[in-house]
Amino acid sequence: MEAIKSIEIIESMLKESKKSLYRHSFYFILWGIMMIIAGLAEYFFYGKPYFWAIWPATATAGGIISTVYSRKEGKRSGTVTMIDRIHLYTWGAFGISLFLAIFYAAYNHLSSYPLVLLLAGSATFISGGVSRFKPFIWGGLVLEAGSVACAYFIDNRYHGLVFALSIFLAYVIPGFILRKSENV
Amino acid sequence: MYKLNPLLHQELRLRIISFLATVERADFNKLLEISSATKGNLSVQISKLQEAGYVEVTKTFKGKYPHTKCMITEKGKKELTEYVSRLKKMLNI
Repeated sequence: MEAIKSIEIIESMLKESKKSLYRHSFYFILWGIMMIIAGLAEYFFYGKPYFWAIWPATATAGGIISTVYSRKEGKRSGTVTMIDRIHLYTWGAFGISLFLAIFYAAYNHLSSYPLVLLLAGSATFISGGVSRFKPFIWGGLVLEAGSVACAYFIDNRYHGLVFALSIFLAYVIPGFILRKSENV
Repeated sequence: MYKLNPLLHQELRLRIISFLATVERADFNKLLEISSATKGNLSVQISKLQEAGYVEVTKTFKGKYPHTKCMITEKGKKELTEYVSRLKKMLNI
């Protein structure tokens, strides 16, 4: 085999492995839409009995769809990369912290939005950094700004609305940009 | 004259090892897809890389079906790096 042919093979395999990168955009779009529905529902039904029930409902629906998709995608991908592992642990830590943050906030009769946005912002910022995808890095900062806004400047009544808007800017728009690049 | 590692200087084995160098692990079907080899040939070449200690192979079951996962070892990474470095010297790049 010619030396130049060897280089071509190695280059083609590098390109091939980029194609095999796990497709993460789906999760950002899915969870973005779910959280926007929940945030807007909370805003419009604020103060109504059981208005909080939209959260477990959207979380359960998102969880089921994510599980089905990840199994299907796992079969298609056939590979595991270091980036996949970092995403898994980052969002795993986010999930656990989210549960605890909501519990702490409810226990202390506080709005959970500042903490939820703070945690989501950190996880999104890390995801953007490891994937070298700037829209998520900016998205992470938008969520952090939303957290500060909810904590200090905006009345609890409007937190659902701020949350929905932050998620739209940080998850949904970057999610669609990422999806476009994954399909190339 | 630079001597290239004969185990890596073979098209299919080079495809396998360079792909594995870029991911943490890949399953047999993925390697089949990226190499366009036959199942038998791929299996033989993976075994050769495994015997040399360049690749680690784990066999499990997914439901009723066997599931083979491969990952490059430290030795494999070192040999591939050496192979690429010699290639570059040969080609003056």
